[in-house]
Amino acid sequence: MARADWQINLAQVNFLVADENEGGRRVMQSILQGFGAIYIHHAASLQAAQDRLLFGGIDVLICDYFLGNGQGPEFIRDLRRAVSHPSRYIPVLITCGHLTARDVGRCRDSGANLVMIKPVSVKALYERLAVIAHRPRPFVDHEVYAGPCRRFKADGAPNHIERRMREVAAASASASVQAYPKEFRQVPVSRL
Amino acid sequence: MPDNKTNTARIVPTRFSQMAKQKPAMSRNDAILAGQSAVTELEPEYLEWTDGLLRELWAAVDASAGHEAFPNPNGEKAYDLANQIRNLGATFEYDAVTHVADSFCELMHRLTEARRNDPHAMQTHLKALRLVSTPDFKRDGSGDLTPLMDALRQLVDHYPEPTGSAA
Repeated sequence: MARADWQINLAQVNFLVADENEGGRRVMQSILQGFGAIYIHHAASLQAAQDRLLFGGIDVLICDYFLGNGQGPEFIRDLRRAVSHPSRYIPVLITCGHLTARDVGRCRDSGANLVMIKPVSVKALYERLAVIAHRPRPFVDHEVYAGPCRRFKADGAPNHIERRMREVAAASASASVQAYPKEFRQVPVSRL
Repeated sequence: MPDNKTNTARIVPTRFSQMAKQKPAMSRNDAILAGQSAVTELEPEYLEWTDGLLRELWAAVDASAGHEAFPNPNGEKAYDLANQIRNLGATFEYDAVTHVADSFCELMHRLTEARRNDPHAMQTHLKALRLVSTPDFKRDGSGDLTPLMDALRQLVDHYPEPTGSAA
C-alpha cells in the first residue's frame, strides 16, 4: 500500500494532549475527534502530563515543546529512559512553534517519534499519525539516546560511514569501537 | 520489551499501531474533511482566544517598554503570548496572523540576544497583528502580504541574527 493510501482507525486509541495553551488543546481535540478518535485526555501542565502517563493506558502522547516552560523535550527524554515506565514505548508527537536551531536539535534528540511545527494542519497531522502506525521505527535503547531510530530511511549509514560508532566512542572514551553492539546498527525494517 | 542494558534497536509493537491499522470506519479523505470541518466550527472560539491573547500582549509590551534592556519578565511573557497567537493562526486559515506573530517572535528573540529594547518595533508588530486578525481581513484583505511583511522584516533585520537562530 502506498504511503498516500495509509488509513488509520483511531476509535480505540487513547490520546493524551499535553499543552498549556487551552486553544492548542481544543484544536487538537477537535481535529482528533474529526478523525474518529473518542478517547482524548488532556494535560494543562507538565505535572499533570507526568501523572497521567504514569497512570498508564495512554496509547499516543501529543506534547507541546513549551510544556513546563520549554521542558517538553526533557519530559520525553526522561520518559524514554525510564525503564519500568508503563508508557515508555508509546508513540510521541512533539509540537512546537517558533524555534531556534538549538531547539530543533533538542526535539530531534528527545526521543519523540515525530516533530510537528505549529500551526498544525489537519492533513499533516493525519499523515504523521499514519506514518507512526504503518511505518514503525526500531526503538533504540542506549546510554546516549533512547527512542525511535532517528534515521527515517533504512539505507544504512549516510555515505556508508557509521557515524554512530564515533558518537558512542566519543561518549564513552573507554569503550572500544569493536565492543559496540552489532544490534545497535541500523537494520532494514523488513529484516527485523 | 528491550532491556536497557543491552543497547539494542528493534521494533517494539505498540497498542497504537495495532489499533490504528484496523479497518477504519471512514476513508482517509473523509477523515481529513471531518477534521477540517471540526476546526472550522471552532473559529468563533479562536477569534475570542486571539482577542484575549492580543490584549495580554499589548499589556506585556507596554510594561516591557519601561525596561531599558532585555531580557525582562514582560518581554518573555510577550514572546510566549505571541508564540501562542502564531501557533493557531494558519490552522484557522489566518495565515497572516501566523506570519506577523512569527515575525514578532523573531524580533523578541533577536532583542533578547542583543540585550536591547525596541518598543516602536514591538508596537508596530502589534498594530499589524490587530489588523490581520479580523475576519474582515481574512475575507477581503489577505491578498498580497508582501509589503506588510517586508516592512516588518526591516524592523527585525535591524538587529543581527543570533547564533542558533530561528529554524
